[in-house]
Amino acid sequence: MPKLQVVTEVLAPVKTIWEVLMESSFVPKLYPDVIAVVVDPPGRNVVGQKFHITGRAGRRKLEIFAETTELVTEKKVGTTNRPGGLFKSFRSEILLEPRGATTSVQTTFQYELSMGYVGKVLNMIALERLVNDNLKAYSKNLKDVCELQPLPK
Amino acid sequence: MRTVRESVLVQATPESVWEVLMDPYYTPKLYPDILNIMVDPPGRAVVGQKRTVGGKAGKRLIELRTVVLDLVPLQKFEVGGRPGGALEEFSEVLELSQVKGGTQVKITFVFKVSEDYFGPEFDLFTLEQMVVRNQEVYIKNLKELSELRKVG
Repeated sequence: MPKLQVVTEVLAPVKTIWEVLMESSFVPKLYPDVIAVVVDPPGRNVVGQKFHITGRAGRRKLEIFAETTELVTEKKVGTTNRPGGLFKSFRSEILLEPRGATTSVQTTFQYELSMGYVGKVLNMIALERLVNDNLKAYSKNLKDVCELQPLPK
Repeated sequence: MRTVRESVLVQATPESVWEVLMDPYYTPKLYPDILNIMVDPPGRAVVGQKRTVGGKAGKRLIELRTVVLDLVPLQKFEVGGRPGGALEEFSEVLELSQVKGGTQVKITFVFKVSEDYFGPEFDLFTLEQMVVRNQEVYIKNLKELSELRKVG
């Protein structure tokens, strides 16, 4: 099963990163090929919150189903796939470690694409590359969003 | 006050375009400088739905406040501004009509950047250009997302 791990130093306090991770409507901005997310129940991230994610691969729409499985305030976010959609299995773990004014963010993704879903329409190798590119971009985009500053008063 | 008018042929049915417009969670993908959106009540667009949108201007976080003003299924979608936020005036009207080859979408944006919100540190002309660029990209992205097809 492909595994991808990225460690990023974010120039923002852990609280700022946690706020972004708790707000599902940031997700399309963090993954380049995610276009929309609907969560159940609506609102901030909680254990058991279900995600219905719409993504794209070329000119095709894809679906991803996931669920928050673990939250340790300002320390850890765990997400796992639910049946159906692009992934046969998917697990992500985001670990936050405060370092003064900055935060170390370790992101680990493990996934296996669903052959049944991908079927005859999409090229498996191209799709794996697309998934990898999205997972790598996630860490960079998370850093960019979290490092934005509020307007001066 | 600036006005931007655009028209685009989307190679998809009005239903496909309408679906993108009705789902507020597409908004961060439609505008390049919008990061997230919170809506009240949650869920699909309804008249009166209040939207609080987080965005960026350079390396700064900004907020926009809007409200859904009018919905005519498959024909018209209108969003207006609410007090507070980065835009003192805001109106977005999209009109859809089915034509040969897809859906013609006419869009009119009217806006005014709030000097009070940004203060003297920001150049208003640069901010205006940024808003215009976002609106131009919005149209391109609306076309792209509406034209996506489902797997299978």
